[in-house]
Amino acid sequence: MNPERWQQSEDIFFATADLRPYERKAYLAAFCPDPDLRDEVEGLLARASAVDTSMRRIVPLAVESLSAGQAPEMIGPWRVLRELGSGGMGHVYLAERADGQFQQIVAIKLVRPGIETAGIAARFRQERQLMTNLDHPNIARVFDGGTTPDGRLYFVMEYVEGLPVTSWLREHPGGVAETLRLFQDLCAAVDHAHRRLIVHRDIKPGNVLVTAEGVVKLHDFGIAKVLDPAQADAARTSTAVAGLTPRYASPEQVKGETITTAADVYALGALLYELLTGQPAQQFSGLSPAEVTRVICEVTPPYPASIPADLGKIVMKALAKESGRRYPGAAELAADIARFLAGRPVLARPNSFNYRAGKFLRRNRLAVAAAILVVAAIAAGVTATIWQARRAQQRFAIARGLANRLLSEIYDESANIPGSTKLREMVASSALEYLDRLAGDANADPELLTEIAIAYSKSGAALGAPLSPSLWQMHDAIVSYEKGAAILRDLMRRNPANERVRRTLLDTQTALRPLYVWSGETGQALQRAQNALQLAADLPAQSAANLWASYRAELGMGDQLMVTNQVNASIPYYRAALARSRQAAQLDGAPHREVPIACWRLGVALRCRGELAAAQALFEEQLRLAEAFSRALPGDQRFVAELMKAHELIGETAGDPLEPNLGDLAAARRHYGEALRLANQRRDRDPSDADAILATEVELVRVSKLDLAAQPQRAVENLLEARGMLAALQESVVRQEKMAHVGTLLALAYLSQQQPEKAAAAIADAQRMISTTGSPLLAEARCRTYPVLGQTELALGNRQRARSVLEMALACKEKLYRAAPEYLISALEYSQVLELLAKAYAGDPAKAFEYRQRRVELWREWPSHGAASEFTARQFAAARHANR
Amino acid sequence: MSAERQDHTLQPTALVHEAYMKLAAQDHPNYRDRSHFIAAAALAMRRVLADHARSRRRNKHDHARTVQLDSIGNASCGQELADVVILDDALTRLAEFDARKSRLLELRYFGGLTNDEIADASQISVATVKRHLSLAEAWLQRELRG
Repeated sequence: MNPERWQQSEDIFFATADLRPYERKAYLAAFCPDPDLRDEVEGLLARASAVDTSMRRIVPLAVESLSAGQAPEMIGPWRVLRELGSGGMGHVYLAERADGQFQQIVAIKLVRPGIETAGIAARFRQERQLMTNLDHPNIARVFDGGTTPDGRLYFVMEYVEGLPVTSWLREHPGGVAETLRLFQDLCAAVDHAHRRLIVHRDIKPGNVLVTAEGVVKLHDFGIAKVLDPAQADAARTSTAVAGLTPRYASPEQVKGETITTAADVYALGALLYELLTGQPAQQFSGLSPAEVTRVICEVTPPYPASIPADLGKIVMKALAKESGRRYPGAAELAADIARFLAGRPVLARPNSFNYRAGKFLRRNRLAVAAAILVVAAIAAGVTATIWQARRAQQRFAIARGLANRLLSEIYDESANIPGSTKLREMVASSALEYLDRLAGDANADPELLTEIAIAYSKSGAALGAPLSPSLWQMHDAIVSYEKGAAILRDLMRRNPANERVRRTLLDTQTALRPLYVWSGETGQALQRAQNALQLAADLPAQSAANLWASYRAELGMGDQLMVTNQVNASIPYYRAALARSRQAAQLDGAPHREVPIACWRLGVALRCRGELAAAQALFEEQLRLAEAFSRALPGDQRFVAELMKAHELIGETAGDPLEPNLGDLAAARRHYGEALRLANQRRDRDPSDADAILATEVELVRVSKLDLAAQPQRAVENLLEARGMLAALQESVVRQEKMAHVGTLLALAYLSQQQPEKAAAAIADAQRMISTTGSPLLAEARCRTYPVLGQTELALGNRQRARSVLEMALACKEKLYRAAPEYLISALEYSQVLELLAKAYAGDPAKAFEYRQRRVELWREWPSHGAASEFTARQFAAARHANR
Repeated sequence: MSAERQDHTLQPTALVHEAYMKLAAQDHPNYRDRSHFIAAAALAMRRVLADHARSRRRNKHDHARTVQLDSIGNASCGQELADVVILDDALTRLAEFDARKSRLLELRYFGGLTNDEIADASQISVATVKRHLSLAEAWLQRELRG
C-alpha cells in the first residue's frame, strides 16, 4: 500500500462513511471511477460498520497467556500427567513419581513465571515449613516444595478428587443440615490452622473440595502468613491484593490493611451465604475494580430472607464490614452454628448500621500506567524543571500540582477500558508505595534493585528540591533517599566490587546531607558527609564517573564544614574537590561546569579566612571558565548567573570598602559594573520576573557601596532606586531583609554626607523592617544595624545613646567572632565596633584606651586563626596608630 | 481440582515492571503532560509485549518438539501470542503509509485509552480520533481476520 493510494482511500472513506447506502453508491459511482479503489473502500466501509470486537481482546489475552507460562514435563522427581486447573498464583498439575520408587499420585502447584520475587520466595519458604506441619483430616496435605531448574517454585500436595463444595451440594442435595455439617468441618479445618497462627486468606469454593465420601478438604493455603503475636505490626503485606477473589475478599484485604483470622471468618461467611441461598452475597458483574472495592467496603449484602432467621444472623455477623464485629475465629462461628442446630439462642445480633469505610486506600485502583506515569513524572520531568530553572515556590507548586493531579485523575479513573485492564491494575497508590512494592517484590537482581534505588533517589530529588515549600516534603524526600540507600547498602554488601552501586549509594548520601541540614539535624548531615567520603575512598580513581562521585563527596564535606562555620577545616576538602574536578574533567576530555563551582567554593573559604590574593586568583579562574562556557553556549541563561557571581566575587575581593579587600577600588568598580550590566540585561528580557528584579537590586546595592565614601550622593540615588525596586515586589522575609540592608547603607551614605538626621530616619526605617519574627536571616540583619545606629547617634551628639547601642552591637559582634574567629569579616566588624565605642567614650580616656587596646590585641592575635595578609597588617597598624 | 476462575482477579505481572524500566530509564524526557506520558507508556507496553510474545513463541517451537501438546493441554497458548505478534506487525506496516493511524491504534490497543484520552494525547479533536480510528480499525480487521 503506498501513501498516495491510501490517502485516496481515506478521502473517499471519510466522504462516504456517514452517507446512507444509496447515497454512498451514488457518490462512489460519480467520484470513484477506479473499480479497484472502489472495492477497497467498500470493503473498508463494510468492516467499519461491523467491527470485530474480538480484536480488542488480543492484548489482554496475550498478557494472560504470557503470564500463564507453559507446562513442564517434569517437576522435581515428579512427572506431569495433565493440568488440573489454574488459579491466581499458578497452575496445578496432576503428577506421578517418575523414578518408579513409589506409586503415588499428587497434585503440584507450580507458581507462574513473572511472580518469582524475593517476597514470594520468602513467603514460600515460610509457607513450606508451616504447611508441611498442618495435619488435619479436612486440610489437603502439603508434602513438599521446591524449585525447578529454571527457578520456578512449586508445592507438592495431596491430590484430592472432589468437587468444589458449591457443586457437590448441588449434586448431593441434603438441605440445610447437610450444608451445615460440611461447613462445620470446614470451620474445624480453618480453626486448626488459626491455632497455628496461620490465616488462609483465600477461602473460596475452588479451594473447598468435597470428596465422593463427603469429606471436606480445604486447599491452597497459598497466601498463608504467620500471625505471630510478636509481629502484629509487621503483619502488613504489600501484596495484599494479589490474587484476591472479590466475592470472598474482606474489606481489610482489599484495602491492604492488617489481615487477621477475621478475614477468614468473612470469607467463610460469604461462602456460607452462597451455600445457603444459592446466590453470592454481593454482585460484581460489570463493575470496574474501583466499584468492586467500594461495594466490598461499603455495601451491605441483602439479608438472606429465605433461611431461618438465626442462621441469617450468623451469616451477617460473619460478613460484618468491621473485622471487630465478626466472630473472632472459625471456632466461634462453628460454635454459633452448633447452637443454632441445637435450637439454642445464637450470639449473633443483626447489624444496625452499614459499614462506612473511613479512608479508602485506593491502592488497588491504580493503573500500572499511572504508577509509571507518576514515577516518571516525578523522576524525570519535574526534577529537570526544578533543578535547571532553580525557581522557587511557583514552579515547584505547578510541578507538584501536576504530579498530584496525575495521581488523583488516575485514581478516579474507572478502568472500563477494554484491552489493557489487567495491565493497568496495579497495587500502588503513589510513586513511593509503588516503589515500595517493586522493592519488596524485586528479585535479587542487582540491576533491577539499583534502578529502583535510583527511582527512590529521583523521587527524593523532586520532593526535596531546593526551596521546597514545606518541611513535610523534605521529610518525604529524606525517607525516599533513605529507602534507596538501604537497598543500595544491601546490594553493596552482596556485591562489594560493583562500582555503580557504590556510586549510587554515595550520591544518596551527598543528596541527603543538605536535606538534613535544612531540617536542622546537623549530626545526621555530618554523618552523611562522612559516609560519602568513606564510600569514595573505595572507588578506584580510574573512571570519570568515580572521580565525579568522589568530587561530590569531597565538596559535600567542605560544604558541611562551612555550614557549621569551620572554615579552616573545610579548606583541605575544597582543595581536594577542586583537584578532583580537574582530574575528572581531563578524563572526560571536556571542560566541565563543576570546575568553576569548585573554584568558587575554595575561593570563598580562602577569602573567609583572609587569603585574599589566593581567593582572587580562584575567582578569576572561575570567571574565565564561565566566560568560556557562555561563549560556547550563547543562548544558555545559566551561565549568565555564573558570570554575575564571578564578577561580584572578584569585585568584592578587589575593593569593596565594607569587606576585607585588596585595595583596588577601580577593579571593584569594573566588576560590579559588569555584574549590574548583566543583571539589567536579564531584567530587560523579562521585566516582570521577580528574581531578575532582585538580582538587579543586589548589584545596584553593591555598586552603591563603592560610592559611600567618595560620592555619597550617587550612592544615595542608587540605594533609593534599589529600595523602589524592592517595594514593588511581594511581601516576604527576603524582601524585608533586603530593605533593612538598603536602609542601613542609606544611613551610612547620609552620614558620609554629614546628614545625621536623614541617617537616623533611614536606620529607624531599617529597624522597623526587622520585626521580631525570630527568623535567623532577620536576626543577622538586626545585628548589622546596631553599629550604624551607634554611628548615627554619635554623629547626632547623643553620646549616651550611642554608647548603649554600641555596647549591644559589641556583644553581638564579639559573640559572632568568638564562635568562629577564623572569619576575617567577623574580626573586622568586631574591630570596627571597638573603634566606634572608643570614639563614643571620647570623654573618658581610660575607657577609650581599653577599647582601643582590645582592638590592637584582636589584630595581633588574629593571624593565629586565619591567614595574615597586607589587609590584616594594615588593620593592625591602624589599630596601633589609633591607640597612641 | 476444578479450573474455577472467578472474574476480576487482580494480578501484577513482570511485564509491567519491564515497561516501567524502559520508561524510567530515559533521563529527562521531554514530557509535556499527562497524555504524553500515557502515550509513551502505550508504546513501552507494545514493545514489551511484542518482544515477549516473540521470544516465547520461539521457545515454544523448540519445546514443542519434545512435548505432546494434547497431554499438557496448553494448545490455546499459541494463538494468543501469535495474534499479538500479528497485531504488532500490522501496526508497523500501517505506520509505513499512515503513521498517525498506527499511533492511534497503538494508543487504543496497547494503552487502552478512550477516545477522549487519545484525543488529548494526540492533540487532535475527538471527532478526528473517531474518524481515523474507524478507518484504522477497518483496515486492521482486514489485516487480522481477512
